[in-house]
Amino acid sequence: MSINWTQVVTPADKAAEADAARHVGVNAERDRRLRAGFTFGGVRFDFDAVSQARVTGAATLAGFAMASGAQPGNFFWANPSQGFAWIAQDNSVVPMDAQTCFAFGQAAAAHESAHVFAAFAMKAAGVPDDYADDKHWP
Amino acid sequence: MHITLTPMRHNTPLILERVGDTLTFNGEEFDFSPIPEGATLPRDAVECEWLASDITRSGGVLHLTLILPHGADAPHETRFPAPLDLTRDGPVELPLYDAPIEEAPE
Repeated sequence: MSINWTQVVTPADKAAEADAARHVGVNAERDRRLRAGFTFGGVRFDFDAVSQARVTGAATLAGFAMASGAQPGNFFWANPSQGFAWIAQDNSVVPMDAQTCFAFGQAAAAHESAHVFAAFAMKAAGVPDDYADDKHWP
Repeated sequence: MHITLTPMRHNTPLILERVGDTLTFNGEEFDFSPIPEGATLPRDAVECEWLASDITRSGGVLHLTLILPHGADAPHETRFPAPLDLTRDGPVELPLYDAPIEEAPE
């Protein structure tokens, strides 16, 4: 007879596997919600990976423009021949001065941070079965 | 011990015996008593051609599925076997390997 007892899966192993699976699920839900977009000024904006990079870049430029003296209400802070604007999820065009664009970037960062920490808190406290429910997310 | 049987046409009949958590398959003994409550011993961990499933212990009872070999003319109760709940030690009464040969009338 031959039994390989090293392969026994104990209840602790099963609990750890289930916990790991729930962690994967939480991360996936976090990313899904993160990438679904964020709201700024009552308007919904994309936040896929490419959009995130664009937002970050624009907000950085806006910060430099503000440091260089860009004034509120000046929409030509990035390009003197064209006012700066962002296309929202509903395809509307939202003009932004440097201050607004900087705040836009801050809102995007807050959106990401809130989801990352919501997922972190759930994983630290023990992932509930209904982790995908809205009540657990910002 | 709760045993589910999965019938399979096979040339070798199975003689099964149980003593506690030990099963003997055609003389080959397997002691499953080290399986703790709530644990699972994967099928691949056991070198036994008759075992068809993982083995789990739930409520103190081992649960497993075994291949039930049968001949070409196995009766209905062998081809559609009921699960076994073993509470006593000793030889396990399995469904008939093949239909009994009836003597032709003279």
